[in-house]
Amino acid sequence: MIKISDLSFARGNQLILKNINIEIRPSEIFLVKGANGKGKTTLLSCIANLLEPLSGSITYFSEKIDSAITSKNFTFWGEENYGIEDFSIIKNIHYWLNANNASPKEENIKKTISYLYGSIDIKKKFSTLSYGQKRKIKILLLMLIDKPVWILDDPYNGLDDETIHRLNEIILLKRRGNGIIIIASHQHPKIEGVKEFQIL
Amino acid sequence: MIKNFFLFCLKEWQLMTLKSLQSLVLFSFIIISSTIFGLALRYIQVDLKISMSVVWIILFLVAMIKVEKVYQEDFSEPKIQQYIMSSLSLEAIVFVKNIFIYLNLSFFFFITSPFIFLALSLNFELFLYVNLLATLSLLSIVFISSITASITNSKNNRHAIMSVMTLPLFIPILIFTISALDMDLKNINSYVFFIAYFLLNLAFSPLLTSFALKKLSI
Repeated sequence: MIKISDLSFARGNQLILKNINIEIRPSEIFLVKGANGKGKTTLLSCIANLLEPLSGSITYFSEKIDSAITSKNFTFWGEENYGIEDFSIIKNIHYWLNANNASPKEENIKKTISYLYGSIDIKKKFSTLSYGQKRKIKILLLMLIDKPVWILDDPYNGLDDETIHRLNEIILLKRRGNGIIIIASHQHPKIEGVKEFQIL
Repeated sequence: MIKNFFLFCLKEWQLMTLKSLQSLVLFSFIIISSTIFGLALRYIQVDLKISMSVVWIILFLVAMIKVEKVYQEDFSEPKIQQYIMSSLSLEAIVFVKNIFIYLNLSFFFFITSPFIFLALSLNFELFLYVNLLATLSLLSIVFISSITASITNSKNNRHAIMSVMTLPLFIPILIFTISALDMDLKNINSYVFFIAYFLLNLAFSPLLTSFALKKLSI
């Protein structure tokens, strides 16, 4: 369970988040909503321990989150692509798997690639992929690294209907497996039982 | 864990090899600059120390540009986020990247140094010693440049100006390189400073670099 208590965050003199209190339990999909600039990404970054809050605390199963907890349990998916332009699709996958100390079987990697990309040349350079294809690599790594908590910032942006459907399938599978999924998006995931939180 | 770390290092090596064209362009700049310097002063007897100072200053620039370029590409905000969330510490990633930048630059210096020697009409008896000096100097140059690059890549331009504060750290390298030329280059003691200075940088640079990346770029 992730518990956020009295969380406030300021950038310079501007208070972006004020006294946020949230509890997210395993098997929950949590949707953070709010207008542009209200602090959705900031809240997600605080949960992922990428930003230090001004006050308040965030705990994961009663333990205060730190880099050891987040690197072991959390996957953060920001808005932008993080693929390495000079590498091919397969090299990118292996690079980020190695960085995350994940060693899935080659067979699973191939299956996941064909599930998301259909038939694609895995030696194709990342820089030559379209925006949507680049974003699919994140879904792919989400599945292969498979940590208990997924923090997804605007995951539906740039994806076609079929990929959105597949991403939702993966999210549902994660929920069934007792995972925690936190999403910040203007778009509703079209999944039942999503807990919503509006940042004012 | 260890196997994955070594595989990660291997990928970093491959990535650096793919970026070799950048280094080639930068070292062409050294050859051209040395040639212009050599031609401009062809009628004057130029002291070895002056020629070496020129080469070293250009080497500083080249190393700084290289580190800056690599950091701009490899430490963009989404990538830093992923590195922080990964199983490896950001300090270890910074260290690995710096080492591969260093190996890449040292290799290219070794390849281009005969041309620099020709352009500056330097004595080829010094070839190996100058390469040894460059190899040792580059270690510290790359690690200091990484601090500079991590600050200049900051999201806030006000912080970027702070990177100027790291520039004086290059001065001892230049001073001790020139003083090493005065000493017996065959004597190992001439190189001890560079090893000591590198060890000092090794202790602080990955920590400062990763701190700057975490605090200024996210």
